[in-house]
Amino acid sequence: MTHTAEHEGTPIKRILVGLDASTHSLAALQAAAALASDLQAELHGLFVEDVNLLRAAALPMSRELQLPFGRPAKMNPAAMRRQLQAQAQRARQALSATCRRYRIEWTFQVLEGVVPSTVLREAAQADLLCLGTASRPVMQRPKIGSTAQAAATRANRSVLLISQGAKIEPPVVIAHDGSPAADRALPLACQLGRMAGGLLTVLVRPAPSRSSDRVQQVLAQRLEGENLAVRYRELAGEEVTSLIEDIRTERAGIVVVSRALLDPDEIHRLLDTIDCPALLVH
Amino acid sequence: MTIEALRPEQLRHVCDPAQFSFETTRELEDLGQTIGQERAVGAVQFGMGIQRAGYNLFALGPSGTGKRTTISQFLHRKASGEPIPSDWCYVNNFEDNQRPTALRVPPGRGVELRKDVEELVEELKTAVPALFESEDYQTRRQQLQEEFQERQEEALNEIREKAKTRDIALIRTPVGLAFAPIRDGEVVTPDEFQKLSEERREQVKEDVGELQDELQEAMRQARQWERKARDRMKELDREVAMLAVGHRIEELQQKYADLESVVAYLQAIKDDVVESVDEFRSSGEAEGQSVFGVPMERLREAAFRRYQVNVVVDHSQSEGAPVIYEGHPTYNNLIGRIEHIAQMGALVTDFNLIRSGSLHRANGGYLIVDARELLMQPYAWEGLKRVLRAQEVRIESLSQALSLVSTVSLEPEPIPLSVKIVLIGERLLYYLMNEYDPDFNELFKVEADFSDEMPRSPENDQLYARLVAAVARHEELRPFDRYAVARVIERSSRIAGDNRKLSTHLLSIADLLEEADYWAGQVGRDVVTAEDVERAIGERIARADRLRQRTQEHIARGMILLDTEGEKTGQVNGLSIISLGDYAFGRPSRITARTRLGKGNVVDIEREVELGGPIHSKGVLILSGFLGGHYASDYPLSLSASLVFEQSYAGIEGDSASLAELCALLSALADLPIRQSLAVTGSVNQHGEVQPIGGVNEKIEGFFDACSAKSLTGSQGVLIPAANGEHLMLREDVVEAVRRGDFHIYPVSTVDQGMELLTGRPAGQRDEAGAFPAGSVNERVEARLIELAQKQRDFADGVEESSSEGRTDSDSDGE
Repeated sequence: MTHTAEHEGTPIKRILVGLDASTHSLAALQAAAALASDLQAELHGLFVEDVNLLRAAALPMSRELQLPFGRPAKMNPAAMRRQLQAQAQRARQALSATCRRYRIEWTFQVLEGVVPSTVLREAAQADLLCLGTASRPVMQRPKIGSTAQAAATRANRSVLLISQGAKIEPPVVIAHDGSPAADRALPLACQLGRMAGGLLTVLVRPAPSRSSDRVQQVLAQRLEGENLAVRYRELAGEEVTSLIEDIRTERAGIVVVSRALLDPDEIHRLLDTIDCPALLVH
Repeated sequence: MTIEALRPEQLRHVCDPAQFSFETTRELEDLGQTIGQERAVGAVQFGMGIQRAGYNLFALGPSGTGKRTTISQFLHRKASGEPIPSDWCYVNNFEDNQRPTALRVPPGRGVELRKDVEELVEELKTAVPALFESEDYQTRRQQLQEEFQERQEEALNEIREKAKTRDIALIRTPVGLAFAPIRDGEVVTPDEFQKLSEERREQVKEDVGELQDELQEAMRQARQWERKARDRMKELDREVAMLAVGHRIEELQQKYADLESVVAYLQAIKDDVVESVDEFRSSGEAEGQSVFGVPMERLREAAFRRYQVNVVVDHSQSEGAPVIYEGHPTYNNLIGRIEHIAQMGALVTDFNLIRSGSLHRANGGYLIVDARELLMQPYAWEGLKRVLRAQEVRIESLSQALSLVSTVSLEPEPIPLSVKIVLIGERLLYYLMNEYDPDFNELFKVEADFSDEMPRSPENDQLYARLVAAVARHEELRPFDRYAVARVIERSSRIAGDNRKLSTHLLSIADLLEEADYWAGQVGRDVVTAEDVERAIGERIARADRLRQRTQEHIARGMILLDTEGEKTGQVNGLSIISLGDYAFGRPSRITARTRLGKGNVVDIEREVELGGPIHSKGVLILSGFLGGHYASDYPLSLSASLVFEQSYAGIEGDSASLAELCALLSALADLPIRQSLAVTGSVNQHGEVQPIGGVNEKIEGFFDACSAKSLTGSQGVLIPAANGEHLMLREDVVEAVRRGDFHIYPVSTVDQGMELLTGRPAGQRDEAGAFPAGSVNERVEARLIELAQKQRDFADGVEESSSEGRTDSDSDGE
C-alpha cells in the first residue's frame, strides 16, 4: 500500500541522497530508498569529489597520516583523484544495488566542489535531502559532520539525517506547537508513521498563544482518518532540552521536527544528542 | 577259579527314603551353602580375603557346577558388609579440555554435585545477562567509553584549534588525516599557495609539520587510551561477572569444603565463567541466528556443556561394595568408552560423552567375568591385563589404541583401580591360559577348582535333600516327597557315574527337578513323587535316544550282526559308548580276530584305516606285549593277527575294548569258541590285569537292551573290570533282570578270569616246570604260538636251504 504525502502542495517525487561510501551515508541510502519506494519517488544519488582534498593533495608540503596507525605518507593529486573515484564507484554500486532491491528509479551524479555547498545547491533540485549524520568521522564517536550541519540549518528543503546502523523504526515522534510551520511537518510524519507500523507520538510544545489542549484538539481533528494510533505528550518546557529528554523517554524511532520550531544552535544540540534519525522539515 | 556274578544290590546304590525324616522338601530349610565344593569355596574365601596385587581368582570347573552362583552368593554376602566405594565424575579440565579431570567424591555425592552445578549454570544464564543489562553496568560502561572518547576528542580538538589559529584545517582524506592551509574556510589552491611570500610558505610548512607531529603523537596516545579503556571495560566485565558468580560458587565451595578436588574444580568454573562471561551475556541476543544451519541457541547450549558433571560411577543407591557381573565383556564394556556425536558433519566428543565400563562400576568391589566370553572379544583380555597391571583404568578408544583413526579425541585422567576380578571358565581354559600366557600367573594367583562330584554319604544325602528343597523353593516348584528326593539322589549318582559319588552338576539336577515338577503338574499332583522323577528321567532319555533305538532295532533285525547266544571262535561281543551331547548310550559291537604266521605284530585294522585313535592303538599294541611276555618269552612271537570292530564305520577311541580284543585273539589262537551270550568291556595291561573303564553303566545297559530285544536266555551277561564295581548305578530293569537270574554282571580282574568265563575252560596257571595244564586255554594258546614259531623257523630254514642251493648252483654256473 502506498500513500501520497502532500507537502503544502509539493509532493515528494525526487529524493536526493548524499553518498560518500561511509556507513552513515549507506544508512541514509537505505532510509531514502525505503521512503522513495513508499512515496513512489525517484532517488538521485550524489557524490561530491571534495575540491579541498584535491587542493590539499596538490600543495607542496602535503602529507597525510594514514589511519588507523598514523603512518605519514605523501599525498599527490592523481592518487587522491583515483581514491575519490573509487569511493564514487562504491557509492554508485551501493545505490544501484539498493534501488534494484526496492525496485525504484534512480540516477547518480558525481560533481566536484566544496561538499556542503555542492550538496545544498543540488538539494534545491530535490524535494527531500537524505544525509548521513557524519561522513567518515575522525573519532569513533560520530558527531554531526559539516555537510549534515550545513544541510540541517541552511538547506531550503526538508532534510533526513540518519546515522550508521539506524533505520526508520516506530515510534515516529513529532514535535508540534500548533503553528502552521509545525503543521507542514505533519503529512511527512503521518507518512513515516504508517511506514513504521502505524504509531505516531505527538510531543505538544506549549506556546504562549496556544494551550496544549487546544493544540491537541486541533491535531486530533487533523489526524482523523490518517489510519494512525496517535499518542500525545505535553512537553515540560519550551526549551530544546525538554524536547531532547522526551524524545529519549519515548525511545523515538525517528523524530520529525519543523525547522522553524528551533534555531540553528538548538538544531545542532538536538542532532548532537539524540541517537535516532531526524527529519527536519523545511 | 570261579567268578561270582555281582549280586543285584551291588549293581545300584539305592537311596533309602527311610533315612529322611521329612515328608516333603517343604519342611526343609534352604541350604545356605554350596555343597561338595569345600576346596573351591576355601579358595574363593582366600582369594577374596587377601588384599594383595595379583590375587585375582579363576574359578574353574565344568559348566553347570554352580561356579557363578556360588561365587556370586559368596561375594554378595561379603560385599554387603564392606564400605561403599567412592563415586567418580569426569569434569572439564579448563586448562586442557582434551584431558578431562576425574573427581573422586564420597558415595552418592556425585549426583548431588552434578545437580548443584546444573543449577548453578542455569542460575548464571539468567543472573549474568541481568547484571550486564542493569543500568548500573550500562552507566559504568558508557562512562568508560565516554572518558576515552572525550580524551580523544579533547586531544584532537586541541590540535584542530591550534591549527585553526594558524589558518590551517584538519581534513579527512579517503585514507587518513591531513593538514592544509585555508582561506575563507576553503583549502588554498597550489597557485594561491605559491603566491604567498616565501616566509609565509615556510611558516605554513613548519606549522603543518609541527601539527602533523602532534597529531601523530595524539593518535599514538589514542591507541594506548583505547587499549586501556578496553582493559578497564574487561575488568569491569570481570567484576560484574564475579558479582554474579562469586557468591553462588563460594556457597558451593563451602558445601563441598571437605572435598579439596571439588573445591578446586568449582574455583576453576568460577575463573572460567569470569573469563568467558560474554557467552552468558549474549543469552537471547542471537535468537533466530544460525551458523551453518545450527541455531545459535544450540551452539550456546553446547558451550555450556563444559560446566556439566559427568557422573560415571554413581553409588547413591548402592549398599555395600559392588559385585558386578559383566555378561558381555567387550573391550569397551570393560574399560569404558568415549562416544561421539555428529556435529555439522564431523564427529566430535567431550568429557560428557565418556561412558564408564564395568571395571569403573566394580571399582572398590568385585567383577565377575566369563573367561571364554572374555577371550572371544578382541583385545578385551589384553585390555583387562593392562588395567590390572597398572591398577588404574585409562579410557582409550580401541580405534585410537590401534591407530586406526587419528582424529582428536580425549585422554581422560585415569581412575585408580582396586578391584577383585573373578574369571569363570572351564578347566581346559585355565590350564591353557596358565601355560601360554606368562602374565596369567601374575594376575590370577588363586584357582578355585570346582568339582563335578562329591562323596555320597548319609550326611551328604541329607544335604542333597536340602539342595533339592532350595532349588524347588527358588524356582517355585512343587515340593518333592522323600521318595522323589531319594530317586533324585540315585540319579545324581548315575550322572556322576559312581555309586559312591553324587553329582555337583547343579544344572543337570535343576533341570531334572524342573522336569519332574512339570510331569507332576501334568498328572495333577501337588507334590513331586518318585514316579514323576522317574518319568522325567525316562522322558529326557526318550527325547534323546533316537540313535540308540535305531541301533537296537538294527541289532534286533540282524542288520548289525551280533550273536547273543551260541559260541564262536575268534569272535567276542565288545562294548563301546556313543556320546551325543549330554546323552550317552552303549553299543555292542562284534570284535573279531584272525591269526596266522607272521612277525609278531598285531594289526589294528581300525588304525590302518585311520578310524582308531591313538589310545585305541595303544590298547592293541599292549596285546603284543602281553602275548610276548605271557607266552613267548623263550621263542619268537611268530604271529600275525588282525583285529577289527565289525560294522563300525566311525572313529573309535579309548582302550576299553582291549580286554575284548585280547579275548578274541586268545580264542582264535587257542581255537576255543567264546560264549556269544556274554559281552566284554575293560582295558588290559601287559600283565593281563584288567583295568577300569568309563561309561560302564551305559555299556552294560546297551548289551542288556540288545539281549532283551532278542530274548533273555538267563545265560547272558557282561564282563566288567572288577574295579568298575563301584561305578555301577544300573537301570532298575537291568537290576531286576539280574535279580531274576536273567542277566549277569561278572567282575573280572585278569584276562584269565575273562577267558574262563567266555570259554568255560580253566585258563591255567604255569606249574613248577613252567608248563600250563593240559587242555587249559593258556596251554592251547602257548602250543599254537610254539607251533607258529616252529613253522616260522622251518620256513626260514627252508628258504635258507633253497637259497644256499641256489647260490651253489650259480657258483657252479660261474665256474
